[in-house]
Amino acid sequence: MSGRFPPRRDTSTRRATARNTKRPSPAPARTPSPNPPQNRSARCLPTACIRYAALSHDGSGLDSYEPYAIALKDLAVKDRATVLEENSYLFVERHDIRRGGAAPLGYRATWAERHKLAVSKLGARVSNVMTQVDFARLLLSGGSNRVSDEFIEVHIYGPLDNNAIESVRGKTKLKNTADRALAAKAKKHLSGMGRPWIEA
Amino acid sequence: MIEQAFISGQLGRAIYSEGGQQFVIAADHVEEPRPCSGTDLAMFFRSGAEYFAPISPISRLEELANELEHNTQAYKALTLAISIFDPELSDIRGLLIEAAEELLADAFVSAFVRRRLRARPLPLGADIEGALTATKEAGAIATYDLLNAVRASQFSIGIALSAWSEGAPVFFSSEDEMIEAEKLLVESGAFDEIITGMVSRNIGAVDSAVLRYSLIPSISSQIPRVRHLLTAVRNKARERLNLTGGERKETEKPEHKRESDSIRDLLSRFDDNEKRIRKRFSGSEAKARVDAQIDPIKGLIAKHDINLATKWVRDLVEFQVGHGEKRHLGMTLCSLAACALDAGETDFATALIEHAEALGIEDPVIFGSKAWALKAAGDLLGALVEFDSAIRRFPDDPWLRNGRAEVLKAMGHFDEALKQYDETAQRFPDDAVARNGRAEVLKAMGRFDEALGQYDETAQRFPDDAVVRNGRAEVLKAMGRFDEALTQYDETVQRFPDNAVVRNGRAEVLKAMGRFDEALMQYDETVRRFPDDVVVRTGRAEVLKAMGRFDEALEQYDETVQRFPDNAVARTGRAEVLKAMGRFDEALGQYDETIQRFPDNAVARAGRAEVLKAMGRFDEALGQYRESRQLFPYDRRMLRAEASVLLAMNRIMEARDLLLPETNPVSPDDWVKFHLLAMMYLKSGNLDAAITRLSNGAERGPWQSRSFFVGSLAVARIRKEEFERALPLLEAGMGLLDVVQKQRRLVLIGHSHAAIGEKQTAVASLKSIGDMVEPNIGGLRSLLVDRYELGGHSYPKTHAERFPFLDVQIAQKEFLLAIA
Repeated sequence: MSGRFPPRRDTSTRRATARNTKRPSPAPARTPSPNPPQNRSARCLPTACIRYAALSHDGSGLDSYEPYAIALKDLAVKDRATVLEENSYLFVERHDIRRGGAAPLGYRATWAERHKLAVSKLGARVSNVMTQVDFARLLLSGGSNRVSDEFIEVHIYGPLDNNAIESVRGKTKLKNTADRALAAKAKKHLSGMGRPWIEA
Repeated sequence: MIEQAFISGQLGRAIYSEGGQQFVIAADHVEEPRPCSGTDLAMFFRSGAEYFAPISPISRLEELANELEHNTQAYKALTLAISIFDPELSDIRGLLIEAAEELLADAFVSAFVRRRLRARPLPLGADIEGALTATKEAGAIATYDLLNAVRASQFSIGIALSAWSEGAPVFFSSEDEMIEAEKLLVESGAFDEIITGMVSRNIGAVDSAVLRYSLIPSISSQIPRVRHLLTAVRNKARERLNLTGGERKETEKPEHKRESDSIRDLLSRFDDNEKRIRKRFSGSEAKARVDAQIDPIKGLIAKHDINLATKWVRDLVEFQVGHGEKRHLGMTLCSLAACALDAGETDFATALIEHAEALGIEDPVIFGSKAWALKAAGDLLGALVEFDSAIRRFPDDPWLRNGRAEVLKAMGHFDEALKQYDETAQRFPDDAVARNGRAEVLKAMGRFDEALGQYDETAQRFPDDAVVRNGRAEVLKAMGRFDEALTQYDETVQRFPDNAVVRNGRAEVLKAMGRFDEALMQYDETVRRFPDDVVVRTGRAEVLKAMGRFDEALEQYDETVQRFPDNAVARTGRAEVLKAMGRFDEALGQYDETIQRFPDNAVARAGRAEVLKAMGRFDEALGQYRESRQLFPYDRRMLRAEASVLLAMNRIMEARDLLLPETNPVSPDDWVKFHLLAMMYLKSGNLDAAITRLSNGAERGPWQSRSFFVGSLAVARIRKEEFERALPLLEAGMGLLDVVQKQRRLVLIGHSHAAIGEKQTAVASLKSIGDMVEPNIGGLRSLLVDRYELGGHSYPKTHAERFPFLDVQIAQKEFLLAIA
């Protein structure tokens, strides 16, 4: 699958969506080495086995992570996921967490108690005039870039495969023939597995 | 300015550093770089294997964006191409094919996908036939070609992978290293080319790929001993595929074997330090006796009486074991091996060299002889390995270095051969062979000016070397500077009056100038002077043939065959005359007989196929060429000729596989390929593409091929109904053509005149062809008379209804003439 196509991020209060396979690194940025790491075994370290996602109320994702989002099944993540109040990159900066240092208490929760974290973070902004759409926006909203994105981050331990997918949201009406064909292919595979494609 | 950049086509991202800061760009937003976030860098380090540093340094953002775009498209095309085979996606296949076809139009993308798809077998459930049918129906040529190549290579991929997993592990210290090497070989295209060679069962092509990729610095620096590694894989693959080309044939008869075993026994008892028993001769007496024995053995070898020669060699060895030294015996055996190689007895030569090797002495002649024998047997890669190893042992031997260069030249690796000759000439400034070899390579590359310069320089340094002067004259001839070539030959003949080659060359130039009478006189004189020179006699026959004096040419060949029964050239020449006379059955019989007598003669096999092609027996011609390609894997003429038969059969896609990629023509072989490519366009109806290429060849091609380009260009113009433009092409330079070429021109001239309504001139042209014509020319003439109503009688009104049918027939015949 091409670099542009891979689904990146989706959120749901009931569902976690895979964001990407990157790892929040507390290490300061450094210049890429002329020889990128080649050792396959390095990718199997436990820290590397965390997949990142975001909570979403309506299955939508963040555009800064590409215009496609995969909604994951509750069953596939419930026993191996935790949630963090915000983007872990910003979180470590905000709380000045050094490598190996512990995160402050009160910002994380297990999957089963994710609602408590959501209330703790967003409770003050909830009002009785809000609609479902407003709730969804409150939980997850895209800014002009990744730094201004607002969401609750999900950390999933271990790999994900197509059995974990509940649905995919994205566009199939694209101008570029290759992108249209690749989207059609993904849609076709999904329908073969009995999973819906939600046209964005 | 960009200081460093890494690209991932798979992720559609590039990361680069500029002014000490890191930025990232995405393939779909290349114009919007943004500073790298921790996410980007973490992703870079996490998925490092998917990022690569571009080979050429990139300094501008536009360059990086372009590179990223290409790589991203390539990955998309790869996904699409794989998906076309997926049976579950059959109902969106149309869209997948359309998208793939768009992307595969780019040469980089196409090569990228092809290299990867031909590195792993398709899954068992792949719907190969369905994919091909859909692609063909969609008219997606690039995708069809790719999928077809993938289909054709499935068996070979399996073999190559198992050969790799068996042969490669010993070359690496870890599995990771091996995986990285495999990746590099796949991505560089080495595997793809090896697979291509295996698919066509062409060990020469496999060897060529092995060598070429082993010499690429970016590969050899990353994979230690890459040539040995690839050779090991190649050997395993060859065993499994039972490829016959380039390897020694097991034709030794039991009688040989017995004698050979006996020689081996004798040699095993040879010990220089052991006191000789029954020593009755002094050193000089022993040498005289050996010399006296060598000549008769050489005579037997020349007569191909290998049984008796082996017995006599055994006697000779027995004598030398009793009276000589190991080194002397080694030299004797190598000298006989050289003679066997000259006679085409490569198996016998190999056996002799093996005996010499068994003596266990360190001598460049023995090591070099082994390499030469492998070269003669067609195992060029093996020869190269031997030369390399011999040069390592004996670095001060120019003979070995020149041998290496010769092998590289025979493999078509002209640049490498040139490099080797340069190095040798520099290291051994008094070695004329290296300098001549250098000039020869330059000539083969079509770099005539440089070749001439080299010959000039060598002639100054070695004024008494006839080879240099002859070579200089040949280059002048190849450049079409006939007058100067003739002057050079005249001067050389005066200087070296006893050199038959030079006189022969002079006659050749006269023939090329269309001065057939003078050429004949030169040959007559040379035959009188050198009655035992077979080349002169066959040359004389060739001139007679060019003059249309077929009966006399046949007579000359008959006489030559009688006088030199072991000469294959005279026999193939005789067959050529019979073909030119339209006596195809007899020509075929002559070729059959020649092949039976000289099974290793490439010219006879190619000639036989040409006769079959002229007879319209295309299937048989194709079979003959394919068989010949296996036997002579490095002979590119076979490949070209096979493509021409495929074109004649209208199998354009297959011909295209043999002719692409299109390259800028430089060497004579490049021009042959270029001509066939133009003919492919002509056949597929793309007349403008054909005309562009043919015009290029007619103006810039080597002079020997120009008349072919001109003739074919005229055919293309006629097909485009530009008859007035075809006529001046056809009428130019008629004086230089031989009789068959003239007949071809005349029939096309007749066509052009008839088409523009000049019926009388057309009739005159067609009549001037004469009676003794090839059936194809005769057939075309009859069709033209019928089509343009030139029969001199009245035609019924309904006759016009036949015109479309006749036009198709005429076009087909003219196409066949153009690729004959």
